[in-house]
Amino acid sequence: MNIAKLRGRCHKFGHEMHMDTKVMPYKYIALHGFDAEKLVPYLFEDVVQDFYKRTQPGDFIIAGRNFAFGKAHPQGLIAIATLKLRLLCESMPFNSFRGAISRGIVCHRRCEGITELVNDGDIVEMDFSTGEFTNVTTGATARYAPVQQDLLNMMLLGGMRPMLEKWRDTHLRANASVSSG
Amino acid sequence: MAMTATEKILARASGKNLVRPGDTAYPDPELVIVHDGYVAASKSQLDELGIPVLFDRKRVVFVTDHAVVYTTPQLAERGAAIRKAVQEWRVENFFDVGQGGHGHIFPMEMGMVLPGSFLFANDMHCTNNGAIGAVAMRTGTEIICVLATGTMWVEVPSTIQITLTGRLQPGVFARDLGYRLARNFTNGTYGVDWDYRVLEFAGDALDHMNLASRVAVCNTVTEIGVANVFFPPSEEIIRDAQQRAQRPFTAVYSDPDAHYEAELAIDLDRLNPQVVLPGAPDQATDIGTAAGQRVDHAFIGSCGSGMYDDLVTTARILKGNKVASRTRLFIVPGTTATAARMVEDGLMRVFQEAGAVVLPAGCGPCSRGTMAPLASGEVSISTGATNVAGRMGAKDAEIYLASPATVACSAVAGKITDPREFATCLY
Repeated sequence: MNIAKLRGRCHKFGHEMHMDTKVMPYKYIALHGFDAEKLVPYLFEDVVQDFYKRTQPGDFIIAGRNFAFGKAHPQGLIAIATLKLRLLCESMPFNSFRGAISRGIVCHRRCEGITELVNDGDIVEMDFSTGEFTNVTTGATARYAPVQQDLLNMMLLGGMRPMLEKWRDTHLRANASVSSG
Repeated sequence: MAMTATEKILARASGKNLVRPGDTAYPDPELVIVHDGYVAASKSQLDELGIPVLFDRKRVVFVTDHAVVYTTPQLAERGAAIRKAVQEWRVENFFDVGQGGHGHIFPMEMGMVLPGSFLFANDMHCTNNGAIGAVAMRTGTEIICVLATGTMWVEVPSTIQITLTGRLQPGVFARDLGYRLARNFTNGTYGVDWDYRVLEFAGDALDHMNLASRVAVCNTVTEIGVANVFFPPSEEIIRDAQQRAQRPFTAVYSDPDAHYEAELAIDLDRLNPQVVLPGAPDQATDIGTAAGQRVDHAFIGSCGSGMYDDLVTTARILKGNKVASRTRLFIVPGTTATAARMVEDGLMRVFQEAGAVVLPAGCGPCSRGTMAPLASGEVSISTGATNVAGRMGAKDAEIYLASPATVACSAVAGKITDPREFATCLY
């Protein structure tokens, strides 16, 4: 079974989705800090009202160029991760991409032209290990670069924390004896 | 295969002969620097994960620069939690309140960070270390991964070469160059993508740029989202580093045929003093646009302009002058060593006679206004790292950014003032 081949419903967004206004309005960052459950209702609030009520775990956010640009505040990513959404976009700043991986969002940030291949509500499929994309609803396909295996492993594992738990279980005893020297 | 200096340093730290932009690497750091805003939180997160030890307690450095006088009981509690973490982790390189100073400066001054070094640090302004020819990568909240495992994944960034020609004219300083670069990248003047790129400087003009000038440039371009900034170390910088070095080092330079994603040329002769307008650090404009604006608050120093040379420039302007009656001026030396030298060399007296307030070494007001904050509706001009709303207190206060000379002149005049109007600035 190819665990990197994922299928879900598309929620389509345009270009230039600013992190602090369109992804997660800054006022909620100040108000709710890192409280994931409280942040979720405000994800994309100014673009799609009650967005969180329209999603199922496994759905895809498909966005255009420069997704989540601006200061790389993590709160919008925390909400996306909590809703268990995947992310495909034409481009996004590196620090937002890094934050997405760290939170276990399965994502691809170099899907050039993808917003022209999908409509809101389409069923899409992405094989993150090969970069093969299919719009199951319309039959449109595209091929992007595969996601690097190390990063894909971290995304599929759930991000930095599960990765550290795994590391702890396999390395800790050996490292503890080195560090105490 | 030819590589840039950053690629060489990342390759060496990762145990590889060659890396290319876009590669994923796991570099082994010489040091890991964590500031006081992250130590206690990192400890509790690693405790929660059941990871009780650091990857190498001797390579971890804890610094205290964001909250150095504990302006609230909560910050004092955090200080106590930091000391508990230091004890439990047995960290030797702990710079507590009053020790070291700003963590983006004193490790270079003390010979802990050297030309060619690779290090991780939690804070984005670790790009300062590019001033000495080192590479420091920001980890953000992933610092816990580095503290536990000794590394984290890094994507090798592409490099843009910026060749500087000419000389900064009297009254124009390195910070003005950084502000202008930040503006010209984000407004599309250069027509190149800057996101997660290394800006590497070259050109004859570097001969006239000391470490403080290089730090100022590294500091001012960082907030737009570059991966790093790199200055090839000059002979003078190498000589100074040799005198301070706590371990052997080898300076690293780009190969002559290294590949750059883009190459830009900047003529310093044509640069005017800049002022960054409130709201974002890339909103620079020639000073004429903002000249005459009243200022209530001014500060000089902290991570980007708190080196001794910056304070000499400041003292040259303040000597024999007084800070305007409705303006308050704070001076924040970058390090405790600089603060001591200020006293020895008479700068402290100049500042006091001018009516400035000298704060302890560290971030000063730029750390969310925990010290010397702004009231609602006030206007500030400073050398702070950024000027987003609320950075130094009230959200509706306005924060302008400028060079130490422009800030000092503005504090004396009580309004934003072109330093070229001050004769002592024209040397």
